[in-house]
Amino acid sequence: MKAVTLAEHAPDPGWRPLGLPGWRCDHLLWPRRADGEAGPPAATVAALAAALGGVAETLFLAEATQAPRRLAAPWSLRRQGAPAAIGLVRTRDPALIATLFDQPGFDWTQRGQMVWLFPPDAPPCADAEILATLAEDPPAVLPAACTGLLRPGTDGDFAELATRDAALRASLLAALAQGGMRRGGTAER
Amino acid sequence: MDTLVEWEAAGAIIDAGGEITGSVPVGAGMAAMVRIPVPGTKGLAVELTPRGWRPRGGTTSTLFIQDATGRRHLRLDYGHNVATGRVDFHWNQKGVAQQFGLGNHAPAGPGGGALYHGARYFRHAGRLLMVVGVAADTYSVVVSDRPFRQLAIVTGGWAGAWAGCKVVGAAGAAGGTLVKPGGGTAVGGLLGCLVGGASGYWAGKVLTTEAIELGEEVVRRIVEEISAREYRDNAPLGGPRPNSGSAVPSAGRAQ
Repeated sequence: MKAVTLAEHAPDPGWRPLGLPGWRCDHLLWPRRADGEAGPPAATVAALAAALGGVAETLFLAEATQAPRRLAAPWSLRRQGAPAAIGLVRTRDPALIATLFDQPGFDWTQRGQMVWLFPPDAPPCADAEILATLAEDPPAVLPAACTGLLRPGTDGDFAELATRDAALRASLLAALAQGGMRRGGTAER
Repeated sequence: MDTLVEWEAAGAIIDAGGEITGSVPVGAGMAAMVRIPVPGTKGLAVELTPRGWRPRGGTTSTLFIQDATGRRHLRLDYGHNVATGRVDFHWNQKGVAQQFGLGNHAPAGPGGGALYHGARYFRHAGRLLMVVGVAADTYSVVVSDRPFRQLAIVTGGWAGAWAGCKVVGAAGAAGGTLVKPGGGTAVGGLLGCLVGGASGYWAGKVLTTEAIELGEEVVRRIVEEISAREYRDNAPLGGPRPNSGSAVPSAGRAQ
């Protein structure tokens, strides 16, 4: 199996996809790690980080002490396990993007991560828009400037790539294909 | 004879035989809410709730052996298993494969379902019992004729429960790991915490009460000694002089 495989359907039949009008969902699958650990293998992380950084401004949740931007978590998110201060990292650096899969307090394998994609020239979005995304599962609203969303699937075994902008989708999939992505995959058995 | 511990006022639950059972809800409550350390695992602890943010839909796991951030964890999950292609009970792990010998998506085995559901029910029941314990002890402080004394006793009980849960729970987790890493770790830790929490609650109350009694006794003797000295110093010359403390009017027992 390639580092990343594109699939139309999620491997988990019970998966609830993003259902916002005008958004299209794809699913990115990868092989299980040989060492028995959860999460995507290193090759997959590298491929995804390179592709995301190559086509979009990437914003993801991070440990507050390591993040340049912080927002205070409302009580509703605190009840969902969020720390008092939520860190946000916005970057195009693949090395930094790769860290989104291993953020303390925002564990990819427990679906505790969210990755917003913006056009390179998009202005920073408001805190309230970020918090609104986190309020529902799947998200019921997204920031106005956001054109793509990557979120972990069941147990972090796959990712749902939702895109509103066809150009972003095409360029992202092209970047992933350049990294060796296979199309039309199914869940690994 | 003084009552060592005013059990009924202390929020303890007395059964039909007059035995104290109030420590049981506190012990169970502790087991459901406290991080029970697993020795030799660099900060892992048994818990019934996840660490870190998760989406509103929540997690489908009910039992966690995890570090403070949830970054390293072993959790008992129910749902789609990408390894088997079925919906089943399985273990998910990250960064702890060496400690427990369980890979990600390892099937939980025949006892997995019982452990999964048991952990879920125990979490809810434990929280409820914790509320019962807090309410009963708060009530005991409010209605006590010596509320600060009672507050100290109650605080001692809860501190004992917490310490007992941690210490005995850790021992139970270590023992459970020897029997069956993962499931045994969790069961041993939770049972140890329950027993240690209940015992610690009882012991904490008894020790605190004894400490208070001792303090009161010391104060009473000091007061008596001071009263005796004042009596001797103020007695008229040639008048009756006390030759022992028993002739001194009692200063009364500190209340």
